[in-house]
Amino acid sequence: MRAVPVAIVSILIGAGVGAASAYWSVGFPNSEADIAALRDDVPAAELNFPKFEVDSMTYDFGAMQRGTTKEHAFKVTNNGTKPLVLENLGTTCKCTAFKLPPKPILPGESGDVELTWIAKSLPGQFRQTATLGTSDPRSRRVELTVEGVVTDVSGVEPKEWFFDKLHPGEQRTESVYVMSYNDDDMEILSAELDSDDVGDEFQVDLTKVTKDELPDAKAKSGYRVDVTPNKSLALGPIQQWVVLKTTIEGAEEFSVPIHGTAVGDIEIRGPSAWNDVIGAVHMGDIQSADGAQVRLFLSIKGDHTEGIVFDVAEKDPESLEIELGELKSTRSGAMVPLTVRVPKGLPAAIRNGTGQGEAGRVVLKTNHPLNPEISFGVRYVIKKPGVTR
Amino acid sequence: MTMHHVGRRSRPLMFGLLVFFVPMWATLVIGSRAASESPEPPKIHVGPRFEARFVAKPRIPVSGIRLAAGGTPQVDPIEANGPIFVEWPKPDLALMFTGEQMGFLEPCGCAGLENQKGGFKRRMTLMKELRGLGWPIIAMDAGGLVRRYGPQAQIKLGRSLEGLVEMGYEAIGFGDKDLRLDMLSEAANLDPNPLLSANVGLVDFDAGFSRRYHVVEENDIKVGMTAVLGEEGLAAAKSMRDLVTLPAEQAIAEVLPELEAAKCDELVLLVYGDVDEAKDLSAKFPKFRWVVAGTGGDEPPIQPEQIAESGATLIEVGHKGMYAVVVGIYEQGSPKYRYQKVPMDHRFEDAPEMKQLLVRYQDQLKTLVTAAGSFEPLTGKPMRLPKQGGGWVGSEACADCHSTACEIFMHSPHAHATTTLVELDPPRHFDPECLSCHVTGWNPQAYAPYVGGYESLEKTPHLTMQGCENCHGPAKNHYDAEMGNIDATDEQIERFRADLRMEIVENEGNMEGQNFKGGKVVQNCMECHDLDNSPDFDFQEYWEREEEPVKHYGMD
Repeated sequence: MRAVPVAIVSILIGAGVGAASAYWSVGFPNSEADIAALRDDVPAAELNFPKFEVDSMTYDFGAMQRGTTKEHAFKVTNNGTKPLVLENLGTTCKCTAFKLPPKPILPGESGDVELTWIAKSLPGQFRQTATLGTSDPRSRRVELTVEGVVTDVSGVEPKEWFFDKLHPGEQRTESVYVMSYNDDDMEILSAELDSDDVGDEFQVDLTKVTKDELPDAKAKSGYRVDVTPNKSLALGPIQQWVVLKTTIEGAEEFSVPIHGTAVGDIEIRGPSAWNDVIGAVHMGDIQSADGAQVRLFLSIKGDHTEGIVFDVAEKDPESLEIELGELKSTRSGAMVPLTVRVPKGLPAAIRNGTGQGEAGRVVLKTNHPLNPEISFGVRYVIKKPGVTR
Repeated sequence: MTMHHVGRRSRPLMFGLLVFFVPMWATLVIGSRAASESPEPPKIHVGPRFEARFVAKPRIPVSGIRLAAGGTPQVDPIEANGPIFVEWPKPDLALMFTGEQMGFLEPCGCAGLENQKGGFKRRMTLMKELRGLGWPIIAMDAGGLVRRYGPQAQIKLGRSLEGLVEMGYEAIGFGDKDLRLDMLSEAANLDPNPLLSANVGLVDFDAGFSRRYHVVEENDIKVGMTAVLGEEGLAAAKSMRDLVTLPAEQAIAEVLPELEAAKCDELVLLVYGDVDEAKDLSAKFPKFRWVVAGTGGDEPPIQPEQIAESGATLIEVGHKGMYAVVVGIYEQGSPKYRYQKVPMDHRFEDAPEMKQLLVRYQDQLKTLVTAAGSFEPLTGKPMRLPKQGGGWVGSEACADCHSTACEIFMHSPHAHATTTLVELDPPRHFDPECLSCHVTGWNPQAYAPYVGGYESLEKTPHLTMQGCENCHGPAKNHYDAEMGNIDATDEQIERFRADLRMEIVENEGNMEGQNFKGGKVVQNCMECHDLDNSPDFDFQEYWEREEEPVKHYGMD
């Protein structure tokens, strides 16, 4: 068999299949007239196409009350010589609907493309797009935009009571403002914690304030609502809700969260690998050849901050490396960097605290009179080289 | 015939075999090996009453299967969302802007991956493809990586930062919700550390946990950048410890001389604030050619706005990471700058690196839950029960007396809700943000269990599925009274029944002109069918539909 004829035939077949595939996906090339139109080489008067023109590509609805609907008609004119056909190619949100002219727009005539928008989203700026397909070869695809600002009948600023880190016995009050944008004289009828178990943990106080005191100039009336812990909270995350009942129409009842973390004088802080609730650092899967480390912090506050010293009392397994850095003063106390390291080259092991293997553990001793010892878990799995699952 | 001649004749056949059959064989072998390596998902047990009477067929949205299996999507993303970079020559430099991710590591929008936009997997593919074309890219994020608070939000913040660093971001600003979490500890573990803020310092401005400004040079073009937390964010941050803050204007005035001294070709100001605030700062500092508003409209404009007071270009990044904005810079020719709003749709395949990030994220959640034997490490203590009901019994308990309603239920998507999570890749049945609407006995908007709600597939198999009690309320009192497990008077029996009844009022629905305020049923539906997860939900349409109906009434 001769190789050359075979190769030539193969190339021709391949080229033919490739060309067919290309035409299938891209379509036949434009005619000369189409190309001229696309390039604007030919004056409009000589073209035989529909020509899409619209009064504006964007419409600003301004402020819209949440839950309301507004409409706008974009005026489309056909300045071409053939009927202009429009097609709905979709919107970026189901909250936007649009209605096209029922028939093609004849040359020299206009039609409306009506966009309807329902303000479903949370208060703030919005922008959504509706895409039209047209039979104008120079404007096959047109995007029309509506935008504005969604407002609500009421607002809360800030959005929660946030205590950040709360220490035992610390007296702190956090405030939020509850505002009405329509009512000149709103009332808060009640403000209660949404939990029978913590009824006396927080004190909630209401103060009606003047318009000038409100953080949003658009608000017409409002209250300041103060939350103060009554007693030392159990260590751990603070996640509570206050249920407010008001006279604001459309916002008669809603809940605002209380967030934060109740901490002791000494607190271990860490990135996403650290979990406060279980008091452990999760190092995940570690390749033996790479090892791994996580940097934590010991955060110290209270009367015994100065002169505090930490030392490693115990580690399980012994192969863990624990590094304590220098004490550094901060605005609110002090901190000591704490690095936990699983060194390179350790054998495979499961220490993730599940049924497969107990978590590792580190115990630090301190000279703090109330917290002489701090311990935390270290969870990890060491994999042999080449094992990825 | 000699062996030599036989060999020659068989060469074309051998060539054909090699060309056509080797790749097929390889694909089959590799594919089946990959399939066999994937662990079998755990089996969902629905209880003997259900298994005997009905068959719950696991159902994953078809588009998800098709896309997940590398199949052909039915929605053409380019037709739906438009072509990108049309007639763009390779730029001398591309600036990429994102922000206000709000915790959406994965795509968001109408149901089905074909309709959703966003996610790190697609964003990384965009960057890899552009870099593969030789585009130098400088990526910047305005901040707003998370929107919730708590242990899971902290984990998400960490994974988001990890992902952005892996994608090569040069700058990540702070949103106020990011700062509520332990950003300091995240910063201490970031290497490299692209955190940027002129007016927020972690511990202090010179503590080394973030930069106040940054200058990057790519392809001989020097770009100076800084970021500020806007007024509303600063007000929210005032109660946060371990931060130092300055008003945005003062901070920019302090860092701008440093950027000017570096003789940058382009200056970028990232503002975690709204459009008005971004424009206001731009007017005061016209040297910044590019000003990003982190909390602008939910999608970027088709064309950017030129800020009249400064001549700068305003960039809005949209919400939930659904879009990226790319600005191309051309040293020669015209125009010098090109702008493209890039929808993160399924024209971009899932990048394996970011898929691994998500696997690590779900694995971390799973380990925490498995080790603790509960979801407390992620959700805190369970929430107290809604007032009526007495506790959760599971949908199977309803089947004996309410068999018609249960038959309808078992053929509806609600019955497959938990299976859907288990069979995803990676599985999501340790993720409270998914579970809260896919099991029984959880609060959908708090992403937390009620006391006695679903705990695990093993411990509480009767509380899988989006069960009856999620709508009707906990049914233990009713069940015990009807079964004679407790002594209940006739009045109590009737009261327990009434507690669980749900009545649809006239014209009840969530669309324009329908009765939403008076509709307890539709309000309950929208606890899960909310704007983020079910933006096209229409109660009346869903309730009345014939395919996989949900409509049911009363007892048999």
